[in-house]
Amino acid sequence: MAEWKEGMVEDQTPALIGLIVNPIAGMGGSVGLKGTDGADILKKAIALGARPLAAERTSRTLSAMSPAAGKFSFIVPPGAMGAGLLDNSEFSYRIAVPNSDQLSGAAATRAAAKAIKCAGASLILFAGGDGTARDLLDALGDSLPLIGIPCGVKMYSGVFATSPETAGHLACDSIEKSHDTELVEVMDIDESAYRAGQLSAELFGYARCPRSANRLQGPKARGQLTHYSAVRSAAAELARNLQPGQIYLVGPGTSAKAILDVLEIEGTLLGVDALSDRTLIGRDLSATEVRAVTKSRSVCLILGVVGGQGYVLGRGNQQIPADVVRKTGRDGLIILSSEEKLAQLAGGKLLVDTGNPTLDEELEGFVRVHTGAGRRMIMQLSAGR
Amino acid sequence: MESKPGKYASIPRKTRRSSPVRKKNRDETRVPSDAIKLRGYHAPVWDEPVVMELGYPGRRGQVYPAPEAKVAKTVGRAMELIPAAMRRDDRPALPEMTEPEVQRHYLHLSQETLGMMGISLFGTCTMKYNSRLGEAVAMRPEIAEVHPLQDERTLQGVLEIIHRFDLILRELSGMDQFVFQAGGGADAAYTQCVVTRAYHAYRGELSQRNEIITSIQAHPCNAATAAAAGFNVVTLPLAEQGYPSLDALKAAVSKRTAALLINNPDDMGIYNPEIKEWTRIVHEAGGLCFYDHANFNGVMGKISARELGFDACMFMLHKTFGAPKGGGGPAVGAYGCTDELAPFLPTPVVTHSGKRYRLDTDRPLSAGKVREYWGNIPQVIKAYAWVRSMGAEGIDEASDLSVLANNYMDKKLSAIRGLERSNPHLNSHRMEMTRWGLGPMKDETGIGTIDVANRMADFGIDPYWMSHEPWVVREPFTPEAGEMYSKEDIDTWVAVIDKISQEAYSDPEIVKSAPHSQAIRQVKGDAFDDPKKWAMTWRAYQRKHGKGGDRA
Repeated sequence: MAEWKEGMVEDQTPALIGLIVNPIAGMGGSVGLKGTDGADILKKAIALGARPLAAERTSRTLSAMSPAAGKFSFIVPPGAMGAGLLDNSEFSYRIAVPNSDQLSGAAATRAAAKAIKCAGASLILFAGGDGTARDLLDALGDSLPLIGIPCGVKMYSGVFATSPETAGHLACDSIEKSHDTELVEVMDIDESAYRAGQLSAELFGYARCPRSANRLQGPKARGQLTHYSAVRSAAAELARNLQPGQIYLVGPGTSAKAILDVLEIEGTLLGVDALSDRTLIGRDLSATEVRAVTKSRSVCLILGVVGGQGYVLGRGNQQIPADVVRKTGRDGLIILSSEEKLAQLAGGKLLVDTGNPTLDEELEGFVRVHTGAGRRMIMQLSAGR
Repeated sequence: MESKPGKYASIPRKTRRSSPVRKKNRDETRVPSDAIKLRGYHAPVWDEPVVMELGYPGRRGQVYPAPEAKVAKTVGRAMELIPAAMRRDDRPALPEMTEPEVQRHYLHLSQETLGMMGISLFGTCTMKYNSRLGEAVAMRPEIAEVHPLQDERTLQGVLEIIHRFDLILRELSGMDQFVFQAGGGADAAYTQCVVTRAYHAYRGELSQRNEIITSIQAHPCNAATAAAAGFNVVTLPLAEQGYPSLDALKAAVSKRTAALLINNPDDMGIYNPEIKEWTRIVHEAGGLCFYDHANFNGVMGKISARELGFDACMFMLHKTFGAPKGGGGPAVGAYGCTDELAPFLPTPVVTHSGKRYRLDTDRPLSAGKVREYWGNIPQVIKAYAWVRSMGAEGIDEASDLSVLANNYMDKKLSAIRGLERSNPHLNSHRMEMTRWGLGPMKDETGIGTIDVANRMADFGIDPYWMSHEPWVVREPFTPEAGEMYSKEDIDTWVAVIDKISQEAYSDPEIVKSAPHSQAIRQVKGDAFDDPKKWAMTWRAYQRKHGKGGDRA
């Protein structure tokens, strides 16, 4: 039984929150450039009249955090990447990397992230898009929770809050209450290919986020299996039922990798691996290698679902070429996910984008997603057009 | 809805005097919530120890006389009646207290709660007032002092009431036989699963039919009990229309289908109008159809599970039929089925042979028991009293009122900032409850549904029900007024939500740090997830928190 006392909040050292602003994030979007990766594109964007967005959006996040201003202090890079936004504000802050102004762009982001981590920050708020998220992933891996203030043109990664204000609230919640964290996908698309009309998102890794950072995530799923334990129990059941002689291509991501974990096989998290008779026969395969390993063999694909979007093919697993997918057909797709993750997808739909529109349409129909041992959820595969 | 002549012959008609109706031209939903004066409230704070920390060695509440010589001689030593292997070595470690000390302790605890007489629009639970009359009937010695193992010849009165109530539920559902053994709604869903198992086993199809279909918006007990009974579970997601599509159902059924377990309306208050087609598709595949009537209030008197094609259904006597649920019981899941499934029912089944009422245990195909004896009988009696006092027309009218009250509430809530109705693209009205979401408020102010629920208690209002997992709607809450709460109660409840919304946008800290007027301040839920912290027994509490506990 809790003892009732006036003023339950305990005194403690104020939390340290890192803040990194990518000042040019999102500038390409407003002038139709699909992204702002690289100096040339930035120049082009400015020439077309693009205006900086990140500062204004970060200010919205800071306003949302102002009621809790006394409970934490910021640690920031200098100038437009952070300190400039906090001058004359009610927030206390200190500068993490006084010399990093010699760096610019991605290198500056990475240097700032490392310095902020060394200073003992408990999480990092960053304003940017997928490119910025990738820079932070490169610098930190999953060692520190991230919350993205959505500013980019492309935001396929799961680290972004639904609005700048939500990012601020999440940050305050994370320091005031203990929050579970989870690993979410960091994805990015090839901008030049996208400009040429081809969308192909790649999975770059997994960043750590407070659980509620996900679009439709409740703050807790108490008593419910967490995503990974649900997927792992589904994978354990699947492992018992693997067919001899069959080739299983294990797509990237934590969900698909659960089958390798259950079989105690060292595979790759971000690549496509091949299994046959419970042993690894191919690791981190390219499209050509996938074709070679599956040639004249019966194939099944073990896939996960991209959170918040619902892609099972075409985002992060382009190594599996359309002709191999055609061979497996819809019946050869084994999809692992938790009900929690599927519940967030509108209309019960999963998306496929194999790069071959005719095949995408052939794949349309219902599939049974493995959501636990003895648990399936009926989802509709859609070409999303 | 007008009752058809001859409908519900088992439920006595009541001569009802209609109450005078005030006619008003103005739109009542436009009365601003600001115009309602909210009550001030503060809970008493007793800083009450847990009962295990109270008492003094040797103190007693009741001291019993030694048995009379004749009794002692006949029975022998009481201790020797217990088999040696079952006897405990030590006395149980119970607190030793006098009767007034016990009374004082529980009075203090009760004073620290909101009690069950507040405005509790706790959706999916259909909170109702448990009449003192119903209590008085259940407490009569003919009910309270009988034992289920008595000779049935001495139980004729109780069995007659059960049989009569069975007939009433048959009329409300179209089923052929009810049993009351299940100790709650989930237990009744489990009854369906074991009946399904026995039915398919009898037909030699159990090894093939190992899947039970349900929806993501059905009560989680449907999936859980199916799994507990050894079935695989196939879950259907919601389509754009707010309920699962027929195509998804068609994709789910196969020769492996054992049964469909489904609510209608679901917890979002959306009625699936295609339900007859659903039961047809499942039957065509060889499966059974079970109607989980957890949300019966909006449709009672309007539909018949049998006419919609169901083989079985379940009513929760502890919500729909008068007695509110509180503190985890007492509850009864009344389970009814067709004659085809009746041989597989748990035993005993109360039957009537024309002269005598019997407890029929001679049912060789029975699925076995789901619980001891034949049900939580005082609860059945209260439900019977409720039906008799409502009458057939009253039940029809209560259903109308509950849908009306919810739609009145919907209109008022839709004017409050930060709220969003689930499936906002659907314009149709909802049934007896609606799932709402605070997603916009969360985005704009950081205040979510748990914060609002905490703050409600400061106004002396029971916090609402949010949603079963997983959360399909962001930051959900699910109010349900039912037929019992007055317009003033609903107005007050909505005014509290409105007030908290205003606070969220102007002074979010007051909401975030709530409750401020309760006996216990904010409960940090994290301990529930940490096996190192939570304790289900006093011994575990002492082990995890130190001898005597740190009372943290």
